[in-house]
Amino acid sequence: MYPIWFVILGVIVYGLAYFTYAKWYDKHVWEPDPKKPTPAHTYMDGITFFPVSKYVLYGFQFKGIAGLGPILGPFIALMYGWVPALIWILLGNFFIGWIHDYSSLMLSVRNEGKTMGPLSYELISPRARRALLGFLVFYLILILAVFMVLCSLFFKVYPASVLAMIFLVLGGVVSGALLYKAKMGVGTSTLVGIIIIIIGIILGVQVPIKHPSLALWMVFTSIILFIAAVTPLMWVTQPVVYVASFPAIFGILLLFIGALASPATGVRIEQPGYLGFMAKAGPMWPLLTVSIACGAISGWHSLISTSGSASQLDVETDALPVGGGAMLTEGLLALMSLAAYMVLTPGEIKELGGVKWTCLVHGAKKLIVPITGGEPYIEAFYGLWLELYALTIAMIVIRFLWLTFGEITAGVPPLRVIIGNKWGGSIIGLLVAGAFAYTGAWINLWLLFGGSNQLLAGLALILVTIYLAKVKKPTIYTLAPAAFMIVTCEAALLWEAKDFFLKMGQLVKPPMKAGTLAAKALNFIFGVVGIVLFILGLLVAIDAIKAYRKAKAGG
Amino acid sequence: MPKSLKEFFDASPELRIVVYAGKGGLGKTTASAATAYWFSKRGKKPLCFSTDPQASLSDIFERDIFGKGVIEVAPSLYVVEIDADKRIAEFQEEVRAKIRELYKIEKIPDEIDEYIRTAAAEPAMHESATYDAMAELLAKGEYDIYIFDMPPFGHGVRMISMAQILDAWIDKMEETRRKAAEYEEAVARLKGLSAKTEDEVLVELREIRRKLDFFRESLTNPKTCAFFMVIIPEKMAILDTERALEMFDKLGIKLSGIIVNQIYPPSLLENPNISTFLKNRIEMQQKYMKVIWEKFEEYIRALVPMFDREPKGLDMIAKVAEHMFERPWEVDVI
Amino acid sequence: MPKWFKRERKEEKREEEGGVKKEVKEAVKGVFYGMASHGMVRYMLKTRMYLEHLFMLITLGDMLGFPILPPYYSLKLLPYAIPHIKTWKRSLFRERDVTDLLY
Repeated sequence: MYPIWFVILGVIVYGLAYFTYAKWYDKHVWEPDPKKPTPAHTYMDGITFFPVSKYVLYGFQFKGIAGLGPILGPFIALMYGWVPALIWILLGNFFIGWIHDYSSLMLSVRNEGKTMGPLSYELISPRARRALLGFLVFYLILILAVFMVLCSLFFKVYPASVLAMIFLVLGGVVSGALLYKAKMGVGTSTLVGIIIIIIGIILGVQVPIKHPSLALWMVFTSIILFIAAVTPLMWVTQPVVYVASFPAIFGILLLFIGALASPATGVRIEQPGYLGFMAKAGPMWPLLTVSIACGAISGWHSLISTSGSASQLDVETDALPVGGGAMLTEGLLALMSLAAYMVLTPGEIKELGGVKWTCLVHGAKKLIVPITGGEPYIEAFYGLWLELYALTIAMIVIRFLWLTFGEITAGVPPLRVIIGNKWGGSIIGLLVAGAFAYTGAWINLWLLFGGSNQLLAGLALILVTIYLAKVKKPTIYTLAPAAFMIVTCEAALLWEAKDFFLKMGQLVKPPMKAGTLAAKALNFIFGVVGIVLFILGLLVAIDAIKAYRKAKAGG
Repeated sequence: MPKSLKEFFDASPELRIVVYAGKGGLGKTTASAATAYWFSKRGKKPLCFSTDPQASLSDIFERDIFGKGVIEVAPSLYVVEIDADKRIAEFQEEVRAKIRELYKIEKIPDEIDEYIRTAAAEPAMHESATYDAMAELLAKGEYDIYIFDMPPFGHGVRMISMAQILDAWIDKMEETRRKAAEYEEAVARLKGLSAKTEDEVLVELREIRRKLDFFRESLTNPKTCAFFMVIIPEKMAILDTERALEMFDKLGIKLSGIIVNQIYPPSLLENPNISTFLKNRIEMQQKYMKVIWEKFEEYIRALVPMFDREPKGLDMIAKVAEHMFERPWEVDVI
Repeated sequence: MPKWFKRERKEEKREEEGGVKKEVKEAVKGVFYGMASHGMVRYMLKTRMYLEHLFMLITLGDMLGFPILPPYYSLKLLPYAIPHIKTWKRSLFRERDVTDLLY
């Protein structure tokens, strides 16, 4: 079995999804009308609301949704075997993933470009909006924690990527300065940035920076994030995210080529197809479905669809290629990541120290090096590739976080002065996330993040369903996935909370000592976070069901 | 004896602005007109400007000059009386024209037009329009000396204090505009457009600030601007003057002098047939004259008598000027 | 209306006129721009909007009952503020939500 079959299978299944199911659903349920003015036109202000071409919007949506979720999530297949993972990525996306992204986009477009908060207020209840808001805060902190620890972990594991990352940040800052301060053209300054990144990778391989302490790397990551958060957007965050998008896209293309060329290079799927329902982390259901988040379905996408793309959709008929198309493309990316994990033999996994996210880099190497050569450079590049995904998303999330703090504390001025600004908010965000990440219970943390993320997807789907019920359209195609996601994720959150409570003080890794008071306290907090997320999710779900019934019965 | 008005002017060769402050009806406009007349007779080219909404320069010069622009009422004696309402109407039209030009539209949206109309109807608009006109004339600098009257607790003085507050706001506005422009340019560059965004608002803001600063500086520089208060020997006037002095101090304005107006000649008391009414009145005035001398001696620049008729027409103005400048300490009417 | 905005409209027109080759070129360019820069462009525009609204509040505050600038100067600046009045009022009167701030 060659990895190319994953890709071919993906293209066939997703092609079918787009050209049969999606087209049919689109016609029967949403009936997009190219003549209906979209919010981008009715509320056009050139700032939040303005129409852009479907190509731009597709790129925007894809970049927004393609993060570490689809890339790292498939690691869970190392625990359960690749067949269940493959089935979930293919069918999850077929029946739930694209429909979620697309419907939440259309939901916002049909509701004056309103975002999730106001939509849940109007469609469900005021309490649902408050619950959603609380949910989002935890969710953002969890994302930040996960991506901080991942980035630091990659620094530790790939010493060659450290200098490469420093150069990437530098390249971003320099190209930003050339663009905005020296008023150079966008092409030239981009080129300069890319050259600096290439130099960084070469230098990184020559001068690897090693340090065994993860804590040190977390501080390193935090410093980069903090600087990015407090400096004006145009100095660091913006240009770094911008130049980073080139290696980010390049890495995907390279992986794609590696997978396509697999029959020629002779790289095969080496992992077992099925390992059993129970694994160390817990049962396959619900854990596999929450672990492989963004490749199959992800709540993050509803935020991008509603807060981002909905206000820019030119015509309603663009919604399917943008919302659905981007999601199905992301499914392909998840399949390639799955392949990259699966080409490693069980022996190789053991050599790497067991089931780890970083196995991806070695899988990518295995796929690509036979074509390109230059193993250490490919390793450094994919180390950097993972870090830049983690870092750029963390940069954006930390901004969201302090904006959210600012909004939440708006009614309490003294609190707002402390955490409702970019300094305090960023520090608090980094400290809380750092404390979470420090425990070493990363797989549990990932599952907690995945659980909340997928739950958000379920809630978005139920919002869509309520709306569809209100306008007398078929609801089953979103209601069933919503029910499935909510039940699955609530179960996963409970499972994780249970794990933290039962093994209190044990779910840690060095440098944190198991059994200590700090370890217990942190594990306890984790458990509480799980419970809180569970309750908030439940609140929204209960109110949603009431609202759905009312919508079905009334009017 | 304190320095007389004439001595004061002789000692201030750089003087460009003379302001007469005081309550309505005390003779500010008359004093302004007389000063302008006096300068014109000394070979200067003065401009007399009335900011009083119940404009009275037309009365004094017995000629309709209201809203007619600058008029030479006597050889090299220029006066102007602003028709604020007309200016506001013109200003509104300018704003509308600008909107039409900027957005290439024929009809101003109703909401905007309503805003323009309500803003224009506010009382503050009147004073702003007047002082804007004044600042414009000052900025042009076509005359040797500018003379105008100003109610002490009214708009003009507020304009000076406002200039200080506005400065802070305009700072803030300029900052937000600069940053906004920076972001806009960054966006354009990201899109690969070579954007040179010249923020017209910033230009406009700087223009407003320049005008306000110019106005404030012109009025607060003691070398180029003289502030006089016109008072009469009555209790209220004395209290008002003390209050005004405090306020001037706060604004950084130095009072250049006080003109005591409408003094009944005490020689009238020598007439045995004087009516009790007049007698009492003169005695009262004498009492307050004493207080004025005690309190403000260093500031007093001229004493002007009460005339037996209204100070109207060039002849009367010449007479007032004669009293103010040539016989500052005599109150017997010539 | 911001200047760059007008130009983008022109670009769209050109797109209609071109053939298939041009369409493909526009598509690749668009997708790439969408992935690399568009998100940040939006974010910067939002930041700019907040600054713009602060400016509006100072300039035209009396429209909503917060008189800060004397009306004379408000009127002088009014023409430049017109394109933003609608968004400004909308953003002030519309209940703000955290999810509006994201993306």
